[in-house]
Amino acid sequence: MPISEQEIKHIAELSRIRLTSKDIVCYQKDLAEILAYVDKLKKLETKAKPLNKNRDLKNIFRDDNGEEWVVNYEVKKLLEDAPENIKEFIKVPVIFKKNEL
Amino acid sequence: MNYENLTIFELQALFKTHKVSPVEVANYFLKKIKKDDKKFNAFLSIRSEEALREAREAEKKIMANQDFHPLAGIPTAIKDNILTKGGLTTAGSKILKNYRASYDATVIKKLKNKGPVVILGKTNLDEFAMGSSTENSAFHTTKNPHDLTRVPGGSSGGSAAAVAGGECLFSLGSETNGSIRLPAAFCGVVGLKPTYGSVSRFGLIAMASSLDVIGPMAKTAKEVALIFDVISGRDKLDSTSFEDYDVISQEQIFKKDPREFKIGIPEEYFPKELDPAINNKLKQIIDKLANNGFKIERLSLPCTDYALAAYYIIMPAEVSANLARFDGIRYGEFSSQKKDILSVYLDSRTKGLGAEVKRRIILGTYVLSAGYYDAYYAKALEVKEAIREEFNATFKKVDILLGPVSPSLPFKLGEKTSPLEMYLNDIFTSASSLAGLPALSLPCGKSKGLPIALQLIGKPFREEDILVLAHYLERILKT
Repeated sequence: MPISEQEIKHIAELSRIRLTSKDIVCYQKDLAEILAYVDKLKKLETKAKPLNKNRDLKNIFRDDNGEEWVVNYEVKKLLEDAPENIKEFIKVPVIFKKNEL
Repeated sequence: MNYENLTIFELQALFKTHKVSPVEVANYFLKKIKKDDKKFNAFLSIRSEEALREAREAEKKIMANQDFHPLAGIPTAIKDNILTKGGLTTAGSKILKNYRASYDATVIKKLKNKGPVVILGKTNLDEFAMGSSTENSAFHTTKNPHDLTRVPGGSSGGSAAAVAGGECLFSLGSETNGSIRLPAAFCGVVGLKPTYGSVSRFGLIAMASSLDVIGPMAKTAKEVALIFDVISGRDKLDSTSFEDYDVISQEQIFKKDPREFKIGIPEEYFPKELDPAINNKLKQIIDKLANNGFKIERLSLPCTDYALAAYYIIMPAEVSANLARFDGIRYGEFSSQKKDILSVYLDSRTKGLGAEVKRRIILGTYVLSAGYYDAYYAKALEVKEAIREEFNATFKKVDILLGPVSPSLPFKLGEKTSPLEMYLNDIFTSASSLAGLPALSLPCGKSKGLPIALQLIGKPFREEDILVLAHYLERILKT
């Protein structure tokens, strides 16, 4: 199944990935090949329904309390992994600009 | 003495009688890695200081108490997508090249509490565990210790090569589809992919959360059983982990007569594309089992042909969601100077992620996008359920399935050029992965110096069955 250049660009944008024009051609080809392969699923007729009621599935709940490991978490170490931080905050670019409000 | 040739039990006996100490053994392996790993490139980072500290701690315990855990002081290596506090955990990706975990994964905590084990270092993998050859690592390519021109398999290629190359006694890998079994097969070691949910995923960098599982690799089935016993069990930090099931008692299970298991041979696992050397070897073994009094049933699993296709929808869909967290804000190297938030995301992900990871994110985003969701993702979930039902019905007739792990022997570095060609390596592991079943890769011979492996697939939570049969096969294959 061919995928247009426009479609790849759109999906890449949704994926937050920047593609060069060479990448686009490459991923168009790869995706077409993979999608042609997975298309075989259409041939399998099945009555199987995911999450059907006969399955022995149950929800796992827990109280929404802070666990001990969160309390003892080494906040400083965690922050050190972020590229930029100020005091105990992770620094990020501004989201809203004045003239947009 | 060549400690790398010992099993965990043999080394433990030497510790017990004080013939050698964990610190001496740790130093031996650290030296060996320094010398040999230039050939294999199994490791991404070495933990010399921490390993020696763990060895000293194990030594104290051993000197003080004769009833120490069998894993105390045993040298191990951990796949680099499993968090270890302090040192680097990169997942084989540039975006995490400086990432230092601030906590241990549950499996690491468990290994440290028992013993502790001596963690020598972190092993190479395909970036974020996405690949079948370890060639997708952002750092370097690992080589197969049996033939340095060939791949070790993937994605846990470093963990398998470290055991095969004698750089540790056991290792941990992770599997989403084939990532423990394939490298174990290519490197000639035993690898167990446990039942989904039997081992906590807390601290495992997520790829496809509905399939990911951590598992052990070692030289023998008995060692793998011991490690599995330590790392498995309910963890409140992973809501998909199951309640504890019966602890595997080594003394009891390995006394079991495996002839009580009925073995199924699925015809779909022996297609004409299967390498003749693997086909012949497996046929010999099946005959031998029949001659030794095993009940063998030939059967068909028609859904097998659809498993890989369903996997290549479900996995990328989950990947596209799971990897959204790598946005350059909490990890990575972005600079916020004069940039808007979108540029930070785009720059970080474009530079930080490799080609295969991007391919799977894009594919996943595509199959989940409006207009395609039902045709792809919903359909794939139906197929997954059909596969599960097919296995359920089959396991009413037989106890264990036997087949090959991979359609080919270890291939050459750089040999597979198209993504789809690489994906097809996982054709015999996909169905059991989608169904969450336990499965084991067992070395069973060689062809032209390259390891051949067989695969045993068990009922859910019946790791015990496949381990007992694997242990039996190890003995009859020796003679």
